Amino acid sequence: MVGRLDGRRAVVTEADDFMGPAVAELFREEGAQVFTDKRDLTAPGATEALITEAGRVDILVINLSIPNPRALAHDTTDAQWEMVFDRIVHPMHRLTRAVLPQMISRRAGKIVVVGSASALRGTPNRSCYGAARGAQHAYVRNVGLEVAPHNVQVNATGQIFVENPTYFPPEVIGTPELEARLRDVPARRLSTSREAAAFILYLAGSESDFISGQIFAYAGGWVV
Amino acid sequence: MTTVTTVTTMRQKPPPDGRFEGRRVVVTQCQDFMGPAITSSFNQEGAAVLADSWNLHSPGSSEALIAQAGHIDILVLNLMLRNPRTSLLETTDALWEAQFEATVHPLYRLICAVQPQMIDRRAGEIVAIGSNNGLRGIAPRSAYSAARGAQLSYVKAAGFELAEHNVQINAVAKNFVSNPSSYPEEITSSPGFAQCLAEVPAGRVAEGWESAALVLFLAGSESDFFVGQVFSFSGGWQT
Repeated sequence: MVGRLDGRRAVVTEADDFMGPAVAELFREEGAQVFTDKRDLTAPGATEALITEAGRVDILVINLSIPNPRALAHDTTDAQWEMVFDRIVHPMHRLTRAVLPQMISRRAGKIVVVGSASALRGTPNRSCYGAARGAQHAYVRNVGLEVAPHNVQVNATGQIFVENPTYFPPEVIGTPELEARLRDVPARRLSTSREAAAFILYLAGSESDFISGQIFAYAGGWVV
Repeated sequence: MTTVTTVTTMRQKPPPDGRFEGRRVVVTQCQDFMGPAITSSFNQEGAAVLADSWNLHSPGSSEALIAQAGHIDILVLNLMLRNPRTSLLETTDALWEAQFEATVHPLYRLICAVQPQMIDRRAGEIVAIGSNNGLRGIAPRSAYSAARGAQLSYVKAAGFELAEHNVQINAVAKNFVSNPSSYPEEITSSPGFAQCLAEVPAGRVAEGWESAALVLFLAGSESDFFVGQVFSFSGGWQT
C-alpha cells in the first residue's frame, strides 16, 4: 500500500538507531515528509529545539534507546540509573510537552512511542532498563487519555525480537544464544524491522484515531 | 453537571487499494454486530468474501460452514447474541447457556474446523470480534461478559498453539463502535447517549470502518508477528 501518509509531516528521533531507519523508510514510501533527527536529546533544550525546527508536526515517533542495557540490579550505580532515564524517559516527556500544543490547537496529531517488551515481562539483568521502559508505558497510558478529547492520539508499542541495529543486529541472528531464546517465542522467529514498522504506521495513520493511551506488545507472543 | 462535547470531525476512510485481491474470507453472522462493516471493507479491498448468516448454534453447522467454504485464507469470527440485561439472580441457566451457545462454542468449533487446512498450507489468519466487556466489568451483563471473556481466553491459548504453524489468531475487543446490534442509530442519537459518551475519552462512537480497519490489519500479512493477542478498541474507555 502506498500513500497512507500523503501530505503528513513526521519526526523520527534517533533516526539511525533502534526502529529509526525502518520507520523513516516506510513512512517515506507512504508519502510522508520525514524529519530524521539524530541529535543527542539529553542536552538541555535539545528536545524543544527539535520541535521548533520541525515546524508543523503531524506525527511524532519517539524512538529512544540505549545500547547494551543489561546490568545486574546490585551493580547498577546511580550514574548508570540516571543515564538510562536521561536517555529513554525524560526526552519523551519533553518532546511530548513541546509538540502537544500545536496538535491540540489543530485538533489532530499522533504520537507513537517505540517501547520495549521488557516493561511488560521481566527478565534478569533488565531492572533499570525495564523500569525506564515501564515509565514510558505508564506515561503514555495517562497522556493518551488526557489528550484523546482533543483528537490527539498517543500510543506505545512494547517490542522485542525485532531485527534492528541497536538490540537485534545482524551479528546476533542465528547465534545459539538467540536460537535458545526463540524457543520461548510462540512465533519461533524474529520479526523484520519492516513488519514492526507496519504496526507503527497503523498507529500513525488515521485508521487508528479511536485508539489512544494504549500499549501494544509486539513480541511474537513472548508477551501479549 | 457534566458538559459533554461530542466530537463531530468528519472522518474519511482511506481509499481502497486491493490489498486483499484473491484472498478468500469467511465472515460469520454477517448481518449482525461488525459483520456489515467488515464484509464491506474486505469487498472494497478485493477479497472474495463468503458472508455467512447461518445459525451456528445447531450441531454440525460450524463444521458444515467450513466444509462448504472450501479454501479459507481468513476467518472472521463475528458472533453476537443480544441478551437482555439481567441481574445475577435473574440470569437463568437458559439465558446463560444461550449466550455461550451463540458466542463461545461456535468460536471453538469454527477454529477447530478450519485449522487443518491452514496448518497444511502454513498460512492462515483468524480474527475474533470480541468485546471490551470481556476486559472491563459492566453491570448488569454477567452472562454476556463471561462469554466475551471466554472468547478472549480461548484466542490467547489457541493463538499460541497455532503460532508455530504460521497461523495467526488474534482478537479485537471493541466497544463504542457503531453497529446494528449494539449501537444502532436509535441508541446513538438518543438524548441520554451523550452521558454514556462522557466515559469515553475520544468523546464519540467510532464508525464501523474504523474498527474494520484494525480487523483488516490483523488479517493481513503485515501483522504476522502478532499471535494470541487482544486489541482493545474503545476510544480509551478500556486501555
